[in-house]
Parts: sequence; C-alpha cells; structure tokens
Amino acid sequence: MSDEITFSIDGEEIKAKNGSNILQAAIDSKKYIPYLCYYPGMKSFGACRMCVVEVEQVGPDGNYRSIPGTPAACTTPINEGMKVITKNTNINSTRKGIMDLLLTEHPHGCLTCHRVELCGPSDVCLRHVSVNDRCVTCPKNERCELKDTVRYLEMDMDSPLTYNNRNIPLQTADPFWEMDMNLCIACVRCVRVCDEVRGDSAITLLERSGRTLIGTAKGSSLIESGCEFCGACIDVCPTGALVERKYKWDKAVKKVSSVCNMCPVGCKLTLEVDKRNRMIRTIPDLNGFSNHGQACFKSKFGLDFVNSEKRIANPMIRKNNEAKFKNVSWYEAIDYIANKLNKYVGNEFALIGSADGTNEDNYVAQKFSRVIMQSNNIDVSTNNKPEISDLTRELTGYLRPENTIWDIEKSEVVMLVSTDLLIENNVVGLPVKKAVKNGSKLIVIDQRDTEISKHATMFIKVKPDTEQYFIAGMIRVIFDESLDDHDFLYNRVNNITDFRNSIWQFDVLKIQEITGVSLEIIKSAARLFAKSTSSSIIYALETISDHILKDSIKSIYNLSIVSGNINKKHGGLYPLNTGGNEKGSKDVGCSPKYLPGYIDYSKKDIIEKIWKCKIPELKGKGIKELSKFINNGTIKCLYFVGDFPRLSGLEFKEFLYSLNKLEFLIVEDSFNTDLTEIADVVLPATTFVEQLGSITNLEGLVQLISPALGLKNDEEHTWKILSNIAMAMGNDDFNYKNAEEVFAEIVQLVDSYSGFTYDLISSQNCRINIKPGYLENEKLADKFNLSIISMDEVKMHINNDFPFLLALSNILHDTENDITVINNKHSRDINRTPIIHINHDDAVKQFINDGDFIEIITEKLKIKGKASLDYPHQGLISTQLLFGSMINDHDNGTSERRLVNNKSESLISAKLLKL
Amino acid sequence: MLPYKDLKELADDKWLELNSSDKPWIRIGTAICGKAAGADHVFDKITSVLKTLKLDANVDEVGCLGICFTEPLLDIKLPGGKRVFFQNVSVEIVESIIQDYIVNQNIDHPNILGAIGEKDNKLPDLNDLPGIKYQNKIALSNAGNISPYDLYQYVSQDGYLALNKVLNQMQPEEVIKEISESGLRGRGGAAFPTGFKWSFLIKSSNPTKYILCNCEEGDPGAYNDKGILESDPFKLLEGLTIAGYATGASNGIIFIRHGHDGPIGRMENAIKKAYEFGLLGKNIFESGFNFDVEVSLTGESYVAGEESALMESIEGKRSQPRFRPPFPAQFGVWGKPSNINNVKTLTYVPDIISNGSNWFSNIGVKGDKEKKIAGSTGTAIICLSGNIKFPGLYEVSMGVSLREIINDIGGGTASGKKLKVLQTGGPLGGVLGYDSLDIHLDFDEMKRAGAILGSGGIIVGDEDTCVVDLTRVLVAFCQYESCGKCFPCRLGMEHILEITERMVKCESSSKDLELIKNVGENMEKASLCGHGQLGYGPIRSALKYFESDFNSHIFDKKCPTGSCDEPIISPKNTRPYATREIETGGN
Repeated sequence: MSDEITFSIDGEEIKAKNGSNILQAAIDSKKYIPYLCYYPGMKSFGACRMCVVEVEQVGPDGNYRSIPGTPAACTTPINEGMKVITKNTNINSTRKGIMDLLLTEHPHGCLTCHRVELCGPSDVCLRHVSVNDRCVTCPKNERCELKDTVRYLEMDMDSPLTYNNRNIPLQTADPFWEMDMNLCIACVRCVRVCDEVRGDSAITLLERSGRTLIGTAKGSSLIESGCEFCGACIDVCPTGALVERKYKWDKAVKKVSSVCNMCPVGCKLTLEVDKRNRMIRTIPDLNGFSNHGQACFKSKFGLDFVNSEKRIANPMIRKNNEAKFKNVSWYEAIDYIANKLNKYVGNEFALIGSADGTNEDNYVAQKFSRVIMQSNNIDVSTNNKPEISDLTRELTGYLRPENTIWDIEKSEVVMLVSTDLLIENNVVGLPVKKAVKNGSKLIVIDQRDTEISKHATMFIKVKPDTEQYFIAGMIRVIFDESLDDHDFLYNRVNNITDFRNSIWQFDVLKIQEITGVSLEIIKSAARLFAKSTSSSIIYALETISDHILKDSIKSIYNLSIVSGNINKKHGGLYPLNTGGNEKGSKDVGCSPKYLPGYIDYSKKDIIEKIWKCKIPELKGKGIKELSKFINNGTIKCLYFVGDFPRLSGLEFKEFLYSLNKLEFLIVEDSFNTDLTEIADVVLPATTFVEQLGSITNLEGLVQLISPALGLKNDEEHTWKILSNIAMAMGNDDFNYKNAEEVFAEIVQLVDSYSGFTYDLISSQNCRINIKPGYLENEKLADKFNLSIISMDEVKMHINNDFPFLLALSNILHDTENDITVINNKHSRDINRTPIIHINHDDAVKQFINDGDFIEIITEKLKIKGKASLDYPHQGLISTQLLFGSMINDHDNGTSERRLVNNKSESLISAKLLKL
Repeated sequence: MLPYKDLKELADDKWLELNSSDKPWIRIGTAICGKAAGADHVFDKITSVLKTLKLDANVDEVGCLGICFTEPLLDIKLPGGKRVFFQNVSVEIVESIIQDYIVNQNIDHPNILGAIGEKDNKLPDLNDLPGIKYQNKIALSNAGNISPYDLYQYVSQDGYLALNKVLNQMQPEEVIKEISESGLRGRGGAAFPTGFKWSFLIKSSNPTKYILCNCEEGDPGAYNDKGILESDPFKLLEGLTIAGYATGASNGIIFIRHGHDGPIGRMENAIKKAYEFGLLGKNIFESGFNFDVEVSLTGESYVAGEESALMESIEGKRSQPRFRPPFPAQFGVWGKPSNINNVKTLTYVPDIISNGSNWFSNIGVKGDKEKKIAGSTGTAIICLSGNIKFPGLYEVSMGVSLREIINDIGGGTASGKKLKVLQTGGPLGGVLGYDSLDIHLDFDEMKRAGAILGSGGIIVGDEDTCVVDLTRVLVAFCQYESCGKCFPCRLGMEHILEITERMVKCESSSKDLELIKNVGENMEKASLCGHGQLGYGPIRSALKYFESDFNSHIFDKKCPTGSCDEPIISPKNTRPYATREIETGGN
C-alpha cells in the first residue's frame, strides 16, 4: 500500500495520507467540512453527524458505487479514487435538520437577535431576547464553534421545534474551571481528551438519551476525581460550556504564538491579549512540535502572574546598606552598577542566569561575565544536577535525546528512573500514558508513590541511592540470560570485554540484598526491558543523592547500550531537567564548565577569536558551589537573574544566609522575593510574554518566544540590561540592536544551531543536530564505550534529629482512603487523612501500630496521617499529597508564581511523632 | 472426557431410567412465564408435600412448552403412564393434585389440561391443543420436555450429535456451506444470511477470535431468547460451539441482560456442566478444537443489544455504538475479530447440521436465486402477548400468515372485541392494522408492509386501543433508551416524543404531522446506529395504517377510543427490575 492516496472532494483532487479519514484529509488540505464532535489528534467519534457527506468509491468490480446513505466524513476512511461531495441540497438539509435539533437545547439569542448585525462590542441590549438566551450569558460569544457552524450552514433560524432551556445551575466551585451545562452540546470532546490524550478520565458522561451531560463520576469535585487541571477539556470545548474562570468574559484583541518557558518541554501556546494589555488566556497549539496541542496546569492556569500589579516596576538602589530602597532611573542604575562592578573584575564576580531566560539573555549573560568581568563563574539557577545532561552528553556524544518525546508513544517498554511526571515535565507523561494504554510496558523505579506509577507494569521501590546497582543487576541478568543485543555490542561497542569482566562483581544475590528488591523482580525487569524491540529510559533522578548521580547515569546508559536501544527509533535516553531553558542556556555557554557550544576551555581560542578578547582559562564555580565560595570570601559580588523560588535541591537556608556575606548583590526579578530584600540593586525583569527570543527544549527543539504584551513599566530584558552595563563599562562589542542580532551571534558560535534564524525556528521543526557535523538522519559511524562502575558501599542516611527519609509525591486521586470535599459555593474545603506508609520494623521501634495517627515533621512541613505498616524498606516513610489540594490552595498562596514554582520532591529528612 | 458414543449411551440409560422407573416423574415449567405465574412457590410446595406424604418422585424444573397462558404447568408422569398436564396450578391446589392423581390415581381433577402419550378417550390429547398443534418446534423442541440443568437429558434427545459430527467429519468451510445452503438468516432483526456472516470471520488469521451470542433482548413483549436460555441452554451452547468451530473462533461470549436471573443462572450452569464433560475447553471430542465460553452481563441499556454497543459493554465501557468501518469481523471485542449472532440463530444450528441443510430449507419460505428472493427458511419463534386469548411462545414455520397466528393459535383477542392493531418486532418495529392479517411471516414481506419480524414479538390490541397512544409509548421507550451518543437520535427522539405527547393530549395541529416526519426522516438518515435509524419506523407505519386515529386527535381534538383521556405516564425507567438490582446490590 502506498503512503499517499489521491481522491477528490467536490471534484477537486486531493492527496492525503493513507489511513486518514475524509474529514482529517479535508482539514489537512484546508477544505472545510462542518464538524462538532471530531477534534484533530483524537479518535473519531461519529456522534454529531454534522460532517455527513456523500461518497462514491471504487467497488471490487472496479465500478464506482456510492456508500449507502450519508456517511460521516470523520468515520469514513479514504481510499484511492474516492469521490466525496460535501455539499448539496440533501446534505445541507440533513445538517440543518440536526442543527435545528441542537439549537432547541442551546441558547442562541446570539444568532437570532435582530440587532446582531448592528451589535458593537460595548452594546448593552438586554431587552431584545429572553433572559437566559442572551449572547451576554455565553462567555464564548464569537469564539463559538457552534455559532460558526450555524453561520456556515446559512440557517434560517425559524424552526418550529420548541426551545427548551435546561436551567442547570452553573458549577463554579472547582478551581480555575467553570461549567455551564446549559451550553453543552454533548459532543464528548472533553471526556474523550481527558481519557484518550491525558489518560486521566477525570470527567465522564452522565446519564443517557436527552439527559446526557458531562460531569464527574458520582458528582465529586474535580479535586478528587483525578483532574490534573491541564485545561485540555476547556481547549477542546466548541461552546461556552467549559471555560477558564479568570478573564472568562474578556475578549482577546490580539493573539500571539509563543512558547511556555516554565518547564523544558517548551509547549507552544497561543497567548490571548485583551485591550487592557493583559494576557487573558493561553491555548496550547495543536501544531506545537513538542506538545501536540497539550499543556499542563502551569501553562494553562499558572501564568497569570505576568499581569500582576505586584511586579517590580522600576530599578531600585540601596546604597550603604540603608534600610530602604530608592527608585532610580535606568541611567542612574546602570551607572551605579558599572561603577561598582569595576571593582570585582575577575573571580570575585559570579553571575547566575535564569533557567527560564532565553538563549539570547543567557548568552549575553555568560559573555558579559566572561568578557567584561573576566569570570567563568556563570551558571543557571536550576543547574543543581548538572550531571544529568552533561554526563549523558559525554557518554552518548549526543547534544540532545535522539528521538522526540512523542516517539515514546511507540516505545514498547518505557522505564522511568526516579521521575515524577506530574509536576515537572508534565507533558512528557502523555506519550508515556498513551504508550501504556496501547499495550506498552512501563517500569517505574522510585521510592515515592508517584502518580505515574499507577500506570506501571512494574513499580519497583528500591532502597534510596541503590538505583545504579539495581540497573547494574538488570544488566547482569541480561548477560547471564544472553538477552543482550549481540550485533550491536559486537559492531558498535569498543570495550565489551572489559565491561563484561566488570559486571561480574554485581552478583544478583548481593544486589537483591543491597537494593531490597527480590531477585525475581530484578530478573523480570531485565527480561521485560531487554526482550522488547524498543525501550526508552526517562530519568530526572529526583530522589537520587548527588554523589550517586554519575554512577546512576552510567548504569542507565549501559543498560541502553547493552540492550541495543541507542540509535533506534522509539528507544533511547531521555534525560530530564527542571529549568525551562536549562538546555539552551548550556548550549549557549551559560555553564561554569563549558564555553558556548560545549567548547572546552582548552580550545578557548576559538571563542576568543570571535569575541576578539581574552577569556579566563579556569573552570568557574557553579550554583552548587556558590555558597561555599561566598562563605570563604572568594566570591564577593553576585549578579542574580530571575527566578529565585525555583532554586531547587540546594540547601536553601544556607544559600540565603551566605548571600549576606556578599559585598555587592544585584538581583534582577519581576517580583519581590527573599533575595530582593537583601540586594543592593534590584532591577525589574521582563517575563516571557514580553520577550522576544529563542528557547531550546529538552529534545533540542529551538522555538521562538514572541512578545504578547508590551512593557508596562520600566522593565527591561536581561540581554539589554547587561549590554548597557557592558557599554557603560566601556565595551562596544555589546552594542546589539535587537535580540535577533544576539541570536545571529549564537548561530555563528554554536555549531549545533547553525543555519537557524528567527523565521525558521518560528515556523519549522528546528531541532539541534545530534552531533556537530552530523545531520539528523545520517547514520552515526561512531562506536560507543560502555562505562564501568564499581560497587561501593551505600551511604546510609544518618541524621539524629530527622532519622527518616520521607518519599513525598502528589497524586491526582486517592484510592486508598476517603476524601471529604465540602462544596461551598465558591470554594472547596478538603478533608483528607493521608496514609503514611512506614516499614513494620521501624514502626515497632517507634511503638506505632497499624492505623495509628502519626505526624511527619520535616524542616518545612508537617503532615498528619494514619500509619500503614507496609513500606518495604527501613528508614523510609512515604505519603502522598493530593494534587487537588495544591491547586485549591493556589488562591491562598502568598507568591504570585506559586503554581509554576511547584516542583517534584526529592527525599526529605523527617521525623515521626505518634499522636 | 467421554467419546460421544459412550456419552450418548450413558444419557440414553438415564433417560430410560427416568421414563420407566417406578417413581413418578414430576416436571414443572419454571421459565419466566411460569415464574411470573408463581411456579417457584408451586415447586417448593410440591417438594414439601412429597416430603410430608413420604412419596418418592423425580422432580425436575423444565422450560416452557409455549403455552404460557397455562402456567404454572405441572407435568406428571406416573410409572408406566402418560404425561398428564395440570394447568394454572396454584399453591393451594398442589396437595389436591398430588393426592388425587399420584396417590389415588384419579383423572378427574378440574385443572387437568390434557395428556401426551397413547391416545384414549379419557383425557384430551395435548397435541390437539391449537397452541401445540400449529407449532413446528426446532429450536424449542426440547423446551418443556427436558431439564435445562441436566446435560444427560439433553444428550438423550440427540444433543451434541451435531457437534460430534462437525468436529469429526466436517471442515469449517463445509459447516459454513451447510449453513449457507440452509438459507438460515439472522433472527436478531436484520435477517442477514448467517453463513455469509460467518464467512467474514473465518477469513481472519488472528489467533484470538470471538463469537458473540446476543441475548440482550430488551424489546418489550419479546421473551424468546430468554425462553431458549431457560428451556434448553445446552442447545444454544452446542450451536455456539459449532459456530466457533466453523469460524475458527477461540472464544465465545454469551451476552445476557442484567437482571434476568433465570436465563443467567441456567446458562452459567450449562457452561459449567459443558466444561465438566469436556464439551468446552481444550480438545473437544479429541478433535484438537479448543473453545471457551463465558457469560457477560449488560448494564441497564437497551442499546447494549446493538452489536457494537454490545462489544463496548463487554469491554466494560458505556454501551454506545461504534461507527463502522471497521466492522466487527476486523475489529470487534478488545479489537479482535468478532461475529455476533442472535440466540435463536445459533439454536437452529445443531438441527441443521444433524438433519442437513435441505431439510431446513424446505421449511418455511424457500428462496429463489434467479428471482432474487432471499427466502425465509425455517421457523419463527413468536412471542404473542397483549390483548390475546392465549398468549405464549410459539415456534411456527415461516410463511404462516398472521391471521393463523392470531386467530388459530392465539384464539383472537382476550376481550372478544374486534382486533385493531398488531405491534411487531419490538418498539423499533412497526404497527400493523387489521387488514394486514394476510401478511405472512417472511422477513421481506413484513419489511415491505412497514413492520419487521425483528425479535418475534407480536403485541395485539383490540378496537379499544388508541394507536396514537400506542405510538407514544413506543416512542417514549425509544427516547428513554437512546444512548445519547449521536445527535440526531438523542435530540430527535426527544422532539418526536414531545410531538406525540402533544398529539395524545389533542393539543397538536396539522403542522406537527409534517414536523414529526421531517425530524423522523432526518433521524433515520443521519443516525449512527439502528436505534435512531429505525426509530421513525413505528411512527411511519402507524401513520400509514391508522391515519384516522391521528386525524381524530389533531382535527377533532378527541381520542376515538377514549383511552387518551387518562394522564400520560412516560417511562421513568424501562427496567425497574434491573435498576433495583443495581441500586441495592451494585457498587
């Protein structure tokens, strides 16, 4: 069968992909057939019957014969030579007949009002149509697919059928989300997207026949129904039945295509801006290369901070440790900073870029630090596990994962190592869940009972910091049972003999003891992984201690090589990080270890030639070592950009304390934080909705961020501020006219970006090359080296105050115990007693019985719950927080960026209290 | 497992023992008709009376002979004697029957209906009763005669002969050929040729294939599928197994409506027994053929009987129809190739195999390829109910006229008044008038008349029946049972119901006649599944045959029979029984 099929729509010849249906083929070739229940990217449903067409196709005898009746275009597969008629009297009358029926249940004053042609945007004409039928009762007036369809059908709107308003009260108790079932046409897109694409099934169809409507099972709130507040149901709703609460009634005057920079997935969004220059809505782009029309709670509901009144409006200076800041002009601020910085040229200066910052911002930041300040102390704030990307790159030689995150969908086995895909990298979870739904197997290795583990085929709780040995054990089993990819190892691996010799130390019985996982499980995990035709590993290593990171990554890499899952479609490695543009920032040199393009300091002359100046040759200090070197007085001046609350995994208090020792601290941010409190200079930063620039996602996809909002106050872009300071300090090389010019310099400097322009990255799928000099499809001639690790003693967690490690995770709905949600009219109170899983032996020592009420106490939080003596390992306790509570608390949060700043938890030191 | 020969010998011995033993053999009909009449209590009473009288007897529950109006029907065979039938047995008279007949051997009990056996002048012969005489039993040949719980009794009536023949002497293709030549058409309503349908499934090479048996049977006034399951579940099971062999299926699923405890219990028991005897499972009759069967239950939904909604339901989803293509033969239950047959269709299969396709095709209306007449071979199982003197479950040859069924078998209306209306084929079927009594039971002839044979239910109404109200009740059922998936049916049914309610209340105008036609025809054209596509059928036929009833409501503003003067009762629930179960027992 050929891949392409030629058929005709209304006499016009069309080529379309084999296997698609008439409707999708029509959409792809920009032909309009009205539809209400179909949605691109989802399975056909065939309910609305609006896309009925007449079809003739070639029968087995070679003659054309028509398909009886009027088949729906969305459910009829195309075939060669098919002739489709999309409009004639018969089809039109059928469509109109259905629409007539539909409008008897849907308020349609917006179509029948006699003033509809004359109506202006601020008209108030409440007397022309009946109360519950008015256009002003619909939040989606003029954004409504139903209305568009009625107009396309040229309806007469004079049907004798009786109109019936359902008079169902609005549901407004759930966070962010409002439901008006009077406007629902039961197209079921929302239920389908929730089940089919998101894998959540938080909403469902209720009742049947004319009473069919949308709701949650048993009428519970979204908080307990398994909703992850991704807003996908709102995005697909053709009418005003499901809408975002905030800015519900506001109309967009401008729509801008941009990219969310809150996590490394880089979801392409359409940002809607109203006439008051506020960003009122974000709608994920169906054509987004990395998100395929999906988003998460952060990008759907968490981005409102950009409109906040509390944003820092202008530069502020606090001279001589005065108590109060003084508002100053940019001119004054830059002058002041330039003067001050002159004193700290050299290693006394450090600069921390924002993990959300554009490539341009962070490129200029590192260039500023290296050229003007002569310091390699340059990093991004989320780079607290640099090994994940750096070591993976060194081992594989790839600058990015070989395959895209949507290739995971077809992966036969997916393994997650210490990765919680709910809070961070949310959209990566979608292909994983979809793969599982289609029969792939999921292995989850974690101490936490994560949400994604509910989908797992094998959920393996290894003892903390023994992941590397567990995986080594799997490799041992693979060799023992000869499940390895012999051809791959023979042809593509250099040191197979050495590696084989090294693997003997990993005696599986010993590993069983160390990891606390039974031999059988190690064996079956190994078999599952190695026997599949394609296996992927996704690893964020969130719960793994720093000193184990390297060995863990090596083990993961070895497993992938041994099973031949490198250089394979739908297989391979997916290192995850946290910062929205951490990958891009490193690409452009915002790293203490590498120059732009991962050039080693030994080859710094390449860069020096272009920059036309000398740069220091010693490796700089990264974010992790910062406190240490501030404390010992090496670093005296810090320029900190942006996103303070997203500092993760660092000893928070220690870091903040050390900053007091600085002589000069410049903080650039859009909100006041603990950091701005102690700064000497505070500069107002722009957010991504005001910026123009490029960001690079975890797949190496380079996308363009476009400004949706104009600058409200005195904010300025990081690259511009730093350029101005540089120029004030006497360097003309920073005289960039705009961000595009900075990008041009990046492209010139960084091999893997070569050829990219703003035009290209805003329209095409631009992923950076796997390796400099290699094109995407070129077969890599390289050979791999397996990485040998040795068996060391596992460091135990020793802390007298907090003897336990808490494995904390968020879940969407709690199957283990009851949740009471008290529905108030505009809010919900959640009453839930979490179950705290604790090892039986530990419990006995603490005199805790099954079912006792106990409290977990950590430095930051306290959780009361019921003890369940079933955690497999000693020294660990595990409990789950309800994701919905976090969402529910959002409005009460102190920080504007609370929602987007949520992050996955690592293991936390804790103690237990019996109540 | 036993080879067929040994099994048959064993069964024959047991049958002989039952018939010639010195104990009386008491059989009581406890199918749904019997139970409704109180057969369960009668059964309990019999066992307790036997105990007090210290009488030893073989007591069996059996299915339904078809003459449901005589239920509870007690069948007592004294050693060496004939089968004597006592009709309408109540708990109160059980003791007198046993005393009279078993103890004292008097044959003058007032409840005696007749006897089967050697003819004599003392008792009327049951076979002369119209309800028995006009029947031609194939699928129901064992009904009322053998215990549905006892596999031996089934085997003694030549049960599993056909399966043995098929597995040891025939190739799957030969079985399909035999079925095709018999002219057997699906009895679920669509009358699709069964052999042709099976041939779709055999083409698929998938190792897992499903053959599904549909006993959803939600039509009001239809109880023939349930009747078969209650009276002779083994025959269906044998038919299903043969179908499995013929189509190369690995699994069979019998899909029964939730709440029908009788059919469910008897079917599950039959499956258990068949596994015990090796008639299901691995290597049946040493032929290397493996076949597994299970029972799956619906929720509370009429549309679950639609083939693709049924598959959704089996998968545990909302019973909403799927669109086609892909067809079930490519993508059915769990995405595996599947084939769906009605209970009746499968029950004919063993007899067709044993007696040959020629025998079957000579019964009923023969098809003619040259004249392009598909024919309707075999028998039809008619559920006769409503205003009829002798309601029952009658298996008659195809080609019999409705007049014979209503007048000869049914004995005319119960009220004695003039017959006015026949509602056939369930709520999606049609409405026929008095002048259509000469229509013959033939799939195509019925369809041309605007009605369908469908599930075989015929509800009779006399001249006091208002057809407008009858139509409203049918529409109300269809509206209530719409699954709510596709727009034309979900919304169209609502409006049609609204219009018919207006008509019943005499609040309608002539515009409504056009409106109901527009909405109905659009629904017919655009709906996703048969529920919406056929939903306008009954209204169209009612308008065709009973225009005057409608006109009287619309123009004269009065109901010709006066029955519409009472307030409208629409179904709040078309299955009160099933819902009660769900509410109390389900989670």
